[in-house]
Amino acid sequence: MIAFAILLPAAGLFALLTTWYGLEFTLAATDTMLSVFLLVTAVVASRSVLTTYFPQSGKLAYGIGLSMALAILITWLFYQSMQGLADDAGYLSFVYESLPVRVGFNWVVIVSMSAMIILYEGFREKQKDTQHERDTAAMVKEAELQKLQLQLQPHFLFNSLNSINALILTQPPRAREMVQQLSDFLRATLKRADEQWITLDQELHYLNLYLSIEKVRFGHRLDVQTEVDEQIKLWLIPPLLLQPLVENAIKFGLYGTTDNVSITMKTYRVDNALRVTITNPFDADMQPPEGSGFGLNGLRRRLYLLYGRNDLLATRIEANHFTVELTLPEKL
Amino acid sequence: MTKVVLIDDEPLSREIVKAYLRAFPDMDVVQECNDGFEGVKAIQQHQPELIFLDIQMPKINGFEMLELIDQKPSVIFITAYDSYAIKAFEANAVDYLLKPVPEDRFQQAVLKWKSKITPTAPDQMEKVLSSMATTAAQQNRIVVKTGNKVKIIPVHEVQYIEANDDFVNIVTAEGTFLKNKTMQFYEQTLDAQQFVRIHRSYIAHVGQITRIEPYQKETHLAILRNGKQLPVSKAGYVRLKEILGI
Repeated sequence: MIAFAILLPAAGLFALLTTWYGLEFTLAATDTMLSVFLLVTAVVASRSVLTTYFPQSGKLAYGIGLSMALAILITWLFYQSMQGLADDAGYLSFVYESLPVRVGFNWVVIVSMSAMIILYEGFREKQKDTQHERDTAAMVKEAELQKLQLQLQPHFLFNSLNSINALILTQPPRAREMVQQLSDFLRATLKRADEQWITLDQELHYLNLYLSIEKVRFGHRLDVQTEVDEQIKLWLIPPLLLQPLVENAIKFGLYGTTDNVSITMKTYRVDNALRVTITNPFDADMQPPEGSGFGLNGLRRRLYLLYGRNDLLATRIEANHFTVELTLPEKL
Repeated sequence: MTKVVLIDDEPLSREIVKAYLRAFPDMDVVQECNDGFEGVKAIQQHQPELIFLDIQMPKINGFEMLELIDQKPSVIFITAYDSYAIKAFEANAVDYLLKPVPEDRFQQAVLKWKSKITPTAPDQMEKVLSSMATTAAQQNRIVVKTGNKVKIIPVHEVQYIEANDDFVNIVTAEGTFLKNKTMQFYEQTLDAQQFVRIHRSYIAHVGQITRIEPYQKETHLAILRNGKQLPVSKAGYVRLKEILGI
């Protein structure tokens, strides 16, 4: 690109000198090379001067003055050098005659080339900034996703430890069992936090670990039924999506009533998407306590960050049932 | 014998308290409750001296349950984790235990209660309850008792709140419910964009007001959707105008 920008005017100048002015080959070549060399030097100089110091006011006068001074300077240098290099009197007088034209030509080239270089550099800089902005946005998104994914309810952890504490006194073998379940669950949580996609089957396994602990805590009151379409067990989904939904259903169900809570979860295929519905009993007279909606808000945000869509999570209330419907587009 | 009631929705959590209480043969667990509704009934029926109360529970939480009880017994709170709650307890010297509950800490709490014998001062408990209401975001429901029944009123159903001596009347389309709280409490804890203290004796739900008419010198009348007229004081009118942006 740069070579082309130098070669093209050089070839033009050379052709002009040989054909129009009828100069002999060596003279025309020397003239062309020296002119182009000086011009390149002048453009480089003008670019570095303009980028290091550019006044706020009087930009135009500064630019014109600088380029004009450079044009005069290189033309003068050219004339001085030619006097030493060439001893053809006719050529030297031709050079002398053409000085004003050469100054004008040099000036035009300096101004246009410097302007192009400066504009091009500005453009590159901007591109770099946009790239940087894009990188930053991606990093922020990544961090937010991680945070949402890892949102483990501290209540859950401490309550589970309390249950273990009670079991140690009353039923030591069951306490050991629960320590194992809780460890498996925590290990899986930590592992999942690093994964982008897991199979539905893996997520269901994780969900069962969670449910086994909740069943110890709430005993016979909790009953969870799951229906899974075998054909979609190997579909890839983002990790830790189902567990918060079930946790929410349990909280809603258990904290809304003291009767037995039966939660139904179904996963099936709808066109090119995987659908999960989770239904829990719901007492319409109960105003859910403040803050219980977290599960769903965090999940909505995660789905938006992952799929760029806001319509993947729907809820509805029918009679005494609250249903959450999650749709996950197929991962291609 | 000291009568004790346990209120916690997790059977294992009650189990451990019962196990720890075996070290105190003079403490008699007269009833175990799964939720706040049962808790209210049990406390009325047995009049226990001490209760162990979980905070996160079905239907109504531990604080809401306490609001419903006039003669409050001593309370030892048992909670999983709640930084707000802990702050409120510490500030008011009400005892609390964190789950999982260590036995020595449990004994310490019971011994401390025994040495004082006097129940937690009622005003300290009041302070805990109101600081819970103000710290735990804005409240979105009010729990009241009508006869032996507990009712949960979503705040958006409240038409207005009226002073009634030391208590307040919560008025909804269904009726009027007495609540042992102050006007000041609701003025501070309800969403200020929706509930305005229009008069010394009235807090109105802004969404219920259909029009405001001038009344006697410098006072106004707020007319609600159901036709009810509420007096608006001079200061109340200023506050109301600010919220309505007029």
